[in-house]
Amino acid sequence: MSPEDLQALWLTVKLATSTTIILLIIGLPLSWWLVRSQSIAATAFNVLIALPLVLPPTVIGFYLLLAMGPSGPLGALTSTAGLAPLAFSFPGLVLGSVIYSLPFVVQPLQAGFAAVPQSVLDASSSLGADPKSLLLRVAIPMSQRAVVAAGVLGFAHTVGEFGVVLMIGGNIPGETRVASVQIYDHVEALDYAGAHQLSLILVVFSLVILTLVYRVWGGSVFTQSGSKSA
Amino acid sequence: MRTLLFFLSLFALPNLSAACTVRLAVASNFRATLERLVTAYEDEANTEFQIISGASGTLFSQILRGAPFDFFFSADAEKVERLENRGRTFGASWTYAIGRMSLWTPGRNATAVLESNDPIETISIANPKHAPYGAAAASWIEAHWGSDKSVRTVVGANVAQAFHFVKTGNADAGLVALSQLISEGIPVNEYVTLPDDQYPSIRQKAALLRSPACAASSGFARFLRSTEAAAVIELSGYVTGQESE
Repeated sequence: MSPEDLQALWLTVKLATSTTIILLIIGLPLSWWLVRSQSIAATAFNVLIALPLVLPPTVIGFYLLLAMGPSGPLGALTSTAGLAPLAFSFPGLVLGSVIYSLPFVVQPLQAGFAAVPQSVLDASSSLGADPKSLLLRVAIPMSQRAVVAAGVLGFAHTVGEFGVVLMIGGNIPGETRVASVQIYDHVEALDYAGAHQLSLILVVFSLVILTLVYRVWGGSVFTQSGSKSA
Repeated sequence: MRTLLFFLSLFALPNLSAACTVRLAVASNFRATLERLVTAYEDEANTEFQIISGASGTLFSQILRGAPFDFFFSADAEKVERLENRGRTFGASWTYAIGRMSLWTPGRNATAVLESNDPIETISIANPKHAPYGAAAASWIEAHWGSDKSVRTVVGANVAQAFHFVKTGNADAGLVALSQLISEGIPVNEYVTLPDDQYPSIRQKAALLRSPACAASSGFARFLRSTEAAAVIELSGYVTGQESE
């Protein structure tokens, strides 16, 4: 395997890790609010978050690129803040991945939180728990499986990302050339041996992740009942 | 059941509308020109031309695995020659166009930028590893700027994406195909067409992939090598193989 392949793999791990951490930070309070709110705003958020499940990544990538350009809202934002443009940069890819993988983190969390019995929450409240500690000290500990599932799925989905990266990445080694793009390049250059090698690693990675999911958590992470009756 | 059959039959309809379907697999950069050629071709009744555009490498892999295309217009010579060597073409291949590369600097006078070495922040090119325009662009950059690291290079999957990065303002310059600039109606002062001795030639070859399914297929093959077709191709921003061979 060439140093370029290794670099692409390492970049993929870096991207997936950063994305997963950010997604969990955003996703935990967001899912908690979505589960407990009956407002129209919550419904709207649910729809928006699920959009990447339906829309082709090319659509997301296309509009992100327009938004990141000098006449787009994100481009205007970065230039007034004196920051480097987001297109063709690692932070830009992280932003794209966060949007693209959001439903894969939020939906398992919602399922987990929804399964926390209301009686437990009521009891905690009556013992003086404020909303913040309800989430941090009751809901999250009771939904550990869901949290792990959300993290694993967010990470795995980001590793498998291709369309968005292709649209906004610009194929810069060490910055935006992730493994999936590197494989595409190998195929396009008719370097099938190179494509096979890198693909093999991704296949093995996916098998390990999915085996873990099914062996360790009995597959229940996908159809989360959440409340593991202790 | 009858309703179901009715709806199922709808799926079959598009295929019934034309007696003969000619499928043209074409590299993205030539798509617009090929559409013009199909229009210019005196169309026989009951013939439908379908254009499938994509990256040459993808189309090549698909053809090797039996994709039902009648023609292949590659962005380079190599892929068509490989198919030819493997006996996957019907008859000899030919050079249908030679690509011309331009430096495009939207909002600025490209000649001035080139001559006075005005700073370029980000230049967009196609992928040098597999796109012919990318290889040409990379060698031009190497020859002109050498180790000058002040210019950032971003790489599109193909020349269409290289164009797109500039068009959306994410790169302030691009080495793109003259044909794209012409078909998009870009003002002529915004680009300079580079002399063809400054980069490796972008020879684009085509081949018929299977025996003509109908008269329209072989007729179109002949038409592509006519002077009328050459005129369309040259107007679109290419040099035709006829002149230089």
